Amino acid sequence: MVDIQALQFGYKKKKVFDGLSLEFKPGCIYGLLGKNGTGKSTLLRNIHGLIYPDKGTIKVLGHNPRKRSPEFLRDVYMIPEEFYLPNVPIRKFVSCNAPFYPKFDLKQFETYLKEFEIPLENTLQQMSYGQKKKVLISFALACNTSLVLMDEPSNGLDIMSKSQFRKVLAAAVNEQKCIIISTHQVRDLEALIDHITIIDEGKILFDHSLEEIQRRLSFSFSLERQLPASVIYFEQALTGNALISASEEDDGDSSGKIDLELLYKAVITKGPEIKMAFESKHSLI
Amino acid sequence: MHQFNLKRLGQLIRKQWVENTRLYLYSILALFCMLSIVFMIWLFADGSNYDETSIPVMFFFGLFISGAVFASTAFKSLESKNKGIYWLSFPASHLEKLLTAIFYNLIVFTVVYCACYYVVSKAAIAIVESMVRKQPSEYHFERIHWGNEQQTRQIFIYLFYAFIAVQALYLLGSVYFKRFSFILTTIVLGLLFVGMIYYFQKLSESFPHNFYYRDGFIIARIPGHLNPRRIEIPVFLKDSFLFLLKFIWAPVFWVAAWYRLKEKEI
Repeated sequence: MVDIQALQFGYKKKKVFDGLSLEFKPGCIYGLLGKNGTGKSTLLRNIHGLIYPDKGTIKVLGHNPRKRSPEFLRDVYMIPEEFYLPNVPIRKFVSCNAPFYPKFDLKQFETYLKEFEIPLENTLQQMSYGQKKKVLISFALACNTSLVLMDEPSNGLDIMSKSQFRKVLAAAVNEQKCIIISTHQVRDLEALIDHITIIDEGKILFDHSLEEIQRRLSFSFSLERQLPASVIYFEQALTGNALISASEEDDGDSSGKIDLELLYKAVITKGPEIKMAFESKHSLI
Repeated sequence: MHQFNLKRLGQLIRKQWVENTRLYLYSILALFCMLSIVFMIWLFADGSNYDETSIPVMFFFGLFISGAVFASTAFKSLESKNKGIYWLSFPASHLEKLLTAIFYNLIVFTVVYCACYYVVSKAAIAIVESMVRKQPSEYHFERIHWGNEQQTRQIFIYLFYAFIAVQALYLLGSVYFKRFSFILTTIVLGLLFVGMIYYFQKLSESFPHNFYYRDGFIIARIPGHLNPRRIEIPVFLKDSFLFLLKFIWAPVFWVAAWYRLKEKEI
C-alpha cells in the first residue's frame, strides 16, 4: 500500500531522513512512535504528498504522492495534529466535502458522531477543539479511504473521548484499509495498534508486528530485587520492577500484556539488545 | 483527463462558496461601503460643479485597486499550515483549484464590483441631478462627452485587458509569496512597469537618429528627400505583437500560478 524506498528529506538546515525504507501494508493499524522532531509528521506529510522527497521514491496505492492527483487524494485522508475546519454546520460540511470521496458513507458518519455524542445539527464554529477533532475523525473514517494518516489523533480528547475514539477506530478498520497513527500517547492506542514502527533521528529503530513482539519479548512485573539474566530492560515502580525479557520459546505463547510505553523506552535505550532478541530465535543478552 | 473534470469543478466552486459565504457577503458589503465613501467624497469635494468624467475614472481606479487586493488573497489559505493542508489535500486537481480561484477573483469579483458601482454611481448621479433641479443657479452637472465613441470603447477594452493581466499577476503573487503578497506583488508590478519603459526607451534609442516609430509605421527621414519614407511593419508581425501584448500576460501568469501550486509544499 505504501512503499518508501531510500527516502531522503531535509529542511533547510536539518536532514530528517537519509535513506529511509519502509513499507505499510493493508489491514493493519500502524503505530508510528518517536521523540519530538524525529520526523514522524514529516513522514506522514511525505506520504500524503504535502512535501516532496529530496531523493528516493514513495509509492502510495500505486500513485506518486507528489502529483497530488484527485485519484490519489480521494483514497487517502490525513488528520493533522493542527487542523482546520471551516465555520459551517456539520451537515453543510458533509454536503460539500463528501461528494469528493466516492466511498463516503453517511450512515457510518452518523454512527461515529453518535458514538462521539456530537449532534449532527451542530455548527463547527461553536465546537471546542476536541469536538472538532471528533467530527474530523468521524468524517475521515466515513470516507472509507484505503489509507488514513493520523498525526496525534488522541491529542485534545478527554478520557471518555479517547475510549470512544478507540471504539470508532476498531469498527472502521478492515482488510483493505491501512491506518498509520503517529503518536506520543502510546497508552491511548495500546489495544488498537497491531504494528509498531519506531523512528529516531530519521532512522527506523524498530519495525515489528505486535504478534512478533509477543513472540520475541516477554513483559512481566517482578517483586524480586534480583532480576533474571534474560531481562533486557526494566523500570522501577513503587512495588517492584516492570520488565522486558527476551522470550525463551518461540512458540507464540505470549507472557504478559505488551506495554508499549515500556517497549518504546527499551528500544530507545537498549536498541541493540532488543534488535538481538528479534534476530536470534533463542535470544540471549 | 484526470486534471480536469467539469462536475468536480462545479462541486469545488460550490464548496468554496458554502465555506466562505460569510466572508464573501462581508466583502460585498465592504466594497459597497467603500464605493459609497468614495462617492460621498466626490459629492462633497466637487463643490457645486460636478463632472461626470470622474465616474469612469473612479470606476477603473477602484476596479484595479480592489481587484488587486482581492486577488492577492486568492491563495491565502496556503499562508497557514492548517488551512494549507486542508486545501492542498483536497481531492481536486491543481488546475481545478486554480480555475476556482480565477472564477471567484475574476468573474464573480468583476460582476459584483460592476453591480455595486452601478448602484452607488446611479444613486450619486440621482442626488446631483436632484440638487441641480432644485437649485440650477448654484449647482452644475457636466455630462460626459465621449467624443470618438469607437476610440473610447477601444480604450475601455484595453483597460479591461490590463485589469485581467493585473488580476492574474496578483493571483500569482498570492501563491508565490508566503507573506505580504499584496505589497510584494505591487513592488514586482512596479519593477515590471519600469523595466518595460526602460526596454522600450532603449529600443527606440537603438533606431538610427533619422528613424522613428508612429502608428505602426517606421518613419525614415532620408537626407535629400523632402518627404519622409514610411516603412510599414509587416501586418502579420504587427498583429502578432499586438495580440501578444494584449492577451499574453494573464495566461502567462495563470500558467506560472499553476506550476507554483503544483510545487507548493506545506
